[in-house]
Amino acid sequence: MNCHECGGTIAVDDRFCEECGASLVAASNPSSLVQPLTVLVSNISCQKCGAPPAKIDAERYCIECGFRQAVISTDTIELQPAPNLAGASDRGRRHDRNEDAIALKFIADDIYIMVVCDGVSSSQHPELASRAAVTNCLEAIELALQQGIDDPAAVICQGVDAALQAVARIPIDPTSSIDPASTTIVAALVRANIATIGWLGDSRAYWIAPDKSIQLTQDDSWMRDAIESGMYTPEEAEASPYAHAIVRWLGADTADDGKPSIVTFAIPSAGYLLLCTDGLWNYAPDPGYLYHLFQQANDSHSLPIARHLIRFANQQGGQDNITVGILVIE
Amino acid sequence: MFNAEVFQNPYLPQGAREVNAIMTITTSDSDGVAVAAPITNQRLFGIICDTSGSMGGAKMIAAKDAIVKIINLLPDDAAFFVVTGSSRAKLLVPLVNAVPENKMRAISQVKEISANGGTLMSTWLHTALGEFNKMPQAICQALLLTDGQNDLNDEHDLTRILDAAEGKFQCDCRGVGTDWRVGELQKIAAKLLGTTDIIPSPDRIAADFQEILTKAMGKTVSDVSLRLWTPVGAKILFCKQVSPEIVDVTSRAKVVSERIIEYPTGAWGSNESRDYHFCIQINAGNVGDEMLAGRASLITQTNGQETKITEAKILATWTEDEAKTAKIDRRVAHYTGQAELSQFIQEGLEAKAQGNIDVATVKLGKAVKIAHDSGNEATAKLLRSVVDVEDAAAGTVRIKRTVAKEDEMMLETRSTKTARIQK
Repeated sequence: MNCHECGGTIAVDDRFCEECGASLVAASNPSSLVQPLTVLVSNISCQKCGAPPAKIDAERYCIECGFRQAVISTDTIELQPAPNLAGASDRGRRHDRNEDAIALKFIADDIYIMVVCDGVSSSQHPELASRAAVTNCLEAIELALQQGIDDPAAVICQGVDAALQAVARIPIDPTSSIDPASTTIVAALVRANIATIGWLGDSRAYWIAPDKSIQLTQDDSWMRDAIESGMYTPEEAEASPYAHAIVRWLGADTADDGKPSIVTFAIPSAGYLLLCTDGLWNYAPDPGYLYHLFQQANDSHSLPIARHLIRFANQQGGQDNITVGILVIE
Repeated sequence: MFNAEVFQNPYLPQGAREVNAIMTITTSDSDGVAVAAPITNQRLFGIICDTSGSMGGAKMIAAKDAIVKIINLLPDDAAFFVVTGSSRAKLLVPLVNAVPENKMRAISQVKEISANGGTLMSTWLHTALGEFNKMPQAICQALLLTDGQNDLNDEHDLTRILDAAEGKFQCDCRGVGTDWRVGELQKIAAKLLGTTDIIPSPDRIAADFQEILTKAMGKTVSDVSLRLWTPVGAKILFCKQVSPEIVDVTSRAKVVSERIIEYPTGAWGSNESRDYHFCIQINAGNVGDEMLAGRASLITQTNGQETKITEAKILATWTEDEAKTAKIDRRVAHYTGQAELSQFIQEGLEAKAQGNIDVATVKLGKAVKIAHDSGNEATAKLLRSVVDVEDAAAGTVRIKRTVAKEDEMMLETRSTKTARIQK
């Protein structure tokens, strides 16, 4: 077999091309859900149970829970469950692992689920938190849809609550002074051109279209609180060291505050729904500028645009993990 | 050299939690290759012989003759002792080196043995343990010969002495004639990591003793334990030695640490091979997950120092591929069958003893079929002494109208012997 990107030789079971690092899963099995995660055997906790890095043996088995650590390249992870739905997650240039996670699902021609999470770096096991959150949120949303729950806001709330429960289950090291595993979340359910989006933290959703691009979510961040309170000008707030501190997240310590903010957006025209982490929007917070970036991609398809956005953020410095999910509305 | 190999189908369907694996441990002469385990040169062999009243006559004469023969066969660098037992134990020959003059003296003592009194086996084992305790670094092995059943009042003391002797010495048990109890000797042998067998007639004692001695003197590595690591949430459903014979060791596990337990396996010689069947329940993983379901290692202790001799992994991988998950490993299947064979024989003989001929016929018929299918000719032959086989492949049998007691006891004691898988 050969890699679809670089033509290098690959084995049937390879998940990534050894030559160029391209994901082989998305290409060979478009409906599969790929969880972005990174492994550096030496310094990363168990992906399953969170046991400390010292508990991972040379063959990558956790000597606590027995599960083997998946080896996935820290380079870009891509997924494309449908032609018009794609995502990518990238370690960036400064971080040594990817603590972001993404899950996308194509349910039917007019029903899509998108979830993006950004593990809080200052918490225990951020990479576990984000992965657990995307997987469980997506599953719970699917389940709620199967159960025929009609109110999309209720569906999203169920998804976020499932994510919260999963994050709260990650074992806590009681000897550590670091916060329990935490993550942001932004989850979108698109059904019959109505997008219902719930979030906690500063991972964002945007509507990107030629006539009018807009930011759909409002960050749960110190900066926004400060500006809204009127005590700081936007310039002052942005200059503060707290600017990017988030004030809401999912974690064992927020179990009683897991209700997401919800926004409903009637998709007005052709365009793109974008979910992303701050690894992207820090370099392009303005919706109009994001539209410009979409144009630059020179391709209206979901995966090429996602790749272009990742490339852009890395060119700008790649200070953080970068994750984008894109749904093309035609 | 020790070598451990695991045979299993690691593929599990979604949600499955049970892992089965056969671990084969073989030792071989080290053909110039470095020996992996520290060798113990000291060997101490204890002879424990029943001298209760019932032993009198031909059995006693044959037993004395057999003891004399194995004393003569003892290598010069070994040590030995002789305990005779009835209602009390007598340390006939205290621990001595097997040099010619000691052998001569011991043999003249053995010739003086006479039979009388009852049977209190706890006292025999107690005296033997005292001698073994004098040479704790040696490979300590014994053989115990009896012809009758233990005094019912001795049960409590016997259990106590077995607890004390466990891990101190190994003991092969032999019953001569047909008046002894299979279960009783099996209990002693199981606890002391030995074998149990019947010697149907006194004239076979000498040959049997020689075989035991030869095997005992071939042991070179002492106190080997089988250590098993399992992950969080795992439960060991069973651990059985399945070859050369079936011994369920599940309940003999000793806790080493939170995740590790160990089973004693006794001493090992060269060119030995034993198979173990592990059945472990684990937490279910997602499709695509791989798990280390167990890590089995052999550990030997010498002078308080642990040496890991060999190690093998038991794995689990969850997949949606039914072609992969449907296959049962052929060794796992084979030994599962051999365990059933042994169980059908036990149940069949029990039913027969209770006069329930219909059940006995069905059970022993199933045993005949498995013995036939798996090529266990030794067990098939023993079965033919108890049943008339009409169709081995179909398992159609008739219980013989008259069965010699020794044949039935032989089937009972040897039903745990398994065949190795046919290549």
